Amino acid sequence: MRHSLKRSSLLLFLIGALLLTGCWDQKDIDTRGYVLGLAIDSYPPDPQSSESTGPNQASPQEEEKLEKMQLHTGEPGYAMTIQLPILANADMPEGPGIQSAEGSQSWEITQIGNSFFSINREMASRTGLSLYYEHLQVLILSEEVARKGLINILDMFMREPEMRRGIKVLICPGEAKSILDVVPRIDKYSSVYLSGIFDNSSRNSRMVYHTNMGDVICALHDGHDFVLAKVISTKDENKASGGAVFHNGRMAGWATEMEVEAINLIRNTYEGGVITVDTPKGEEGRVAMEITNEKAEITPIVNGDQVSFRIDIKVEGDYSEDINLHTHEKLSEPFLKSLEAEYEKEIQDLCTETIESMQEKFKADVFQFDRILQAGEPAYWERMGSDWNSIYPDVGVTVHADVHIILTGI
Amino acid sequence: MVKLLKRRLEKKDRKKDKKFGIKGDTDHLKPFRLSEIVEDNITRLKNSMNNTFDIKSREFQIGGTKYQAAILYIADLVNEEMIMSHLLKPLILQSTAVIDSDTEVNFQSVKDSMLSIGSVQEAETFDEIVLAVMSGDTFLCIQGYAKGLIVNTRELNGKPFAVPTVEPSVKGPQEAFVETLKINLGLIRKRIRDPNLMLEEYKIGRRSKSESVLVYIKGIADPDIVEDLRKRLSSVDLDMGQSAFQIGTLVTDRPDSIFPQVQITERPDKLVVSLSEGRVAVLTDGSPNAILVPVTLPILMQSPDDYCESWLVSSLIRISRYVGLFLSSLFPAIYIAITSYNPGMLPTRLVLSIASTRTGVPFSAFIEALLMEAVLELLQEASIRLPKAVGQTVSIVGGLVIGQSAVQAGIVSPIMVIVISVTAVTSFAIPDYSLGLASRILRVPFMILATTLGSFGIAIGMLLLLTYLSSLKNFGIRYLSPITPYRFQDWKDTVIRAPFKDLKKRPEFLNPEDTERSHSRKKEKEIS
Repeated sequence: MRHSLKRSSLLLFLIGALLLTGCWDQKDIDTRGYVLGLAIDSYPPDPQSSESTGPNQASPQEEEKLEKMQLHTGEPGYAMTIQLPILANADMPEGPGIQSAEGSQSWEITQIGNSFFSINREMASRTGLSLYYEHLQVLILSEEVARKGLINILDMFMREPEMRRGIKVLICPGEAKSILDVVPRIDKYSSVYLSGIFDNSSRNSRMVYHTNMGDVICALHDGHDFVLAKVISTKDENKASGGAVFHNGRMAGWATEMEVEAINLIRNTYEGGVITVDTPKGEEGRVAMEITNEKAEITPIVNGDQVSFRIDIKVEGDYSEDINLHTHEKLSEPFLKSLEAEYEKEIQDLCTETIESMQEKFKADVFQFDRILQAGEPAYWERMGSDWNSIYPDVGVTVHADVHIILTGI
Repeated sequence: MVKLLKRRLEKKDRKKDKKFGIKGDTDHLKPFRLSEIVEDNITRLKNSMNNTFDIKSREFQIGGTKYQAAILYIADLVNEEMIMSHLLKPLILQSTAVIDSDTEVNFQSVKDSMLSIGSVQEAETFDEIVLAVMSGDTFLCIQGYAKGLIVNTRELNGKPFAVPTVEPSVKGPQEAFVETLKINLGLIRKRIRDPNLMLEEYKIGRRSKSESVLVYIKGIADPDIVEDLRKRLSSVDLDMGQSAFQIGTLVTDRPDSIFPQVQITERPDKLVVSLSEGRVAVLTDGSPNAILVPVTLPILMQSPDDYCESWLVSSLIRISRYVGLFLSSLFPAIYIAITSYNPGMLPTRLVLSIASTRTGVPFSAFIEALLMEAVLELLQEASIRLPKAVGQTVSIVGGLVIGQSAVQAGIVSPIMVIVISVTAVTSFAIPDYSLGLASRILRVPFMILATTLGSFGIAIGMLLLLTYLSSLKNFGIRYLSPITPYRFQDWKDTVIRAPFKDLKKRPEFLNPEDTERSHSRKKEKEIS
């Protein structure tokens, strides 16, 4: 009897301890604010880009009162904007054809301050929801912020446990907030729409796909240069267009779409895309090839203190389209061979030009030759690694492309 | 520990001894022949059929002569009226007429002129006689003749059988036990013509004196289990022994457990297959259910339909049943834990759509789930109580009024209706009704754990549950065997159902004496 009493009281104690310590981080799913997108601008805004603020700012002064916060120290340096979905406006399926959704789908809140963590918490005074970052899709930085350097601002994003490595870091010329203000046609939330664009990697290779928070943080800490995706917008549309080149953790300049394509080719991040060439002499047509398989091999060639690189790009693709091509020998072996040669030349030219432009304009080693040297020629890296930044702009690179057309489609 | 080991060894020895001792078929009775003495024949025949109580014999003198004769039959299988009027009556009463007409009374004249039954056969060896008696024929022997007559007295026309309602199946036989013990035993006898089928009678209930019968197959069932059950049955002290379940709870170790400690079945085919696996059954007069022991969780998840389809199909169905068992107790808890603690685990679009359907719902997910759960339980209970004609009302009120209107009124979110509906559906996929009830009972504790401690709470609850389940034992068999006292051999018929050619051994965890189901490929045969 006594024994069982002891046992049951122990059991009761254990259950009580368990249940009483629970609940502390319970939060119903509809009481969280799911931050979908986050944009960081510098404050006070650039006089040039401030003109491009949206027309729907009814009373800027009122708004500014809310957006400013008291600071413990220093002057406000950044304006952070978050995008929250307005769940009440999300159209619930109440019946066929009935659209109950009215009003805007998302709410962009801007807060000005000088530390992102305090800005984040200050927003709690304006939302009534507890902000939740695990569903953050995109982090958009304005060019101005990016040029000041990423390591300054990304610290919170590295520390905060709610931040995922898969957040896409995008750079935008002009005001970053304007990207979130886009009201997309095919999605409710611009951030979700924007991050979906980057799932098209096997269709188009003119965007930067390796633009995740995790990649950025790794590259920053290892001291590598990298490219992030550039994004531009209109009122109802976003476009991933080219890339932002980073050197020493700061943005150095923009890479065009074609340059991004070449960078993807060289860095083995090419998942599929289209290259178009004019047909070989004699005809006036154009042929598009869809690249289905691509493999680049970078070999460092060390000669004393001199280093150069040889890049072999093997490409397999399908004959996808020709335009204005009036010949009956489309499938003949010599024609395809000469076509392949055209592609090889095109790829070689594109890559060589891109490498030169990166070396000269930005001095940015976005191809991460340093990583290859480190792994392939450790002895050389030991000796010369510390001078890499000065060596890189003059390094000689030869590109060899080898193209095979696999399917002709007819 | 040492004791356990000793027991194991003893068992092994016994198995070795018995390997060629007891055989399931009647072939081994071939060398035995009838003698000329009637009593001797009857005793020997009864012994070779293990003297079960339903074997009836009647010795008599052929009317007006000194000729001693006897008949032998199994009461559950024969048409007793037929025996009375076409066998006993002519032999005892009307035979005087034959004798008067100067016919010599001998074996041939009995066969030719005294029996008014269509099919009469002569037999000399025990194997034919035993098989015939087991099939429902009556054996007749006469003093002075080393041969006997097999008279067809089988009950051929259908008895008033019931159709299984609690355990319906698609392709399995549509026969169920009824309230009469004799018919039920007949249903079993009809399926097993094994002289080793043992029936032991018990009178349970001080006042009701209900007949209960312990059924097992000698040579397969573990004698320890049989002995254990015998002891428990004879020590049952009840005023009224009525339902099978009542007796079931009295013979188990853990009557308080929410998990069924005896399997209750209304299907003779299920019972027979279980007997052939080495389990033991108890039938009670007046109850249309039989109890089967020992029981384990995997056994409760089997269904007769598993043995009527290709092994791939039935394995998939069985796996989905396990998923159903899991979801039926955990799904609301998982929903609560993920939505209120870890919404990061869901895809973004799903989170947004769940959250947006929940906006405006005044209750927390837990209260909401509890409300719906209560409504569901009430609906299930109500639909059992209501007469069939009114039963429609429940489904309309339950489905339309509560489901749809509650959502439109904003009291519960549509997603919660989905969650609770899925839970209800999954609990119906569990083949054993009592196990389904257990999984329903577990839902609420898991929901409480999920709402206080999140996924961590579910993990704790799951651990506790598994600890409890693996500590449960009935008749010396662990409740989770063969999964957790690990016996890989038996996994072939646990979560999956291997092809029949691989199921030649009986489940090892039930300690059957005869481990082989079939010795050669040719003889392989399965009853559903």
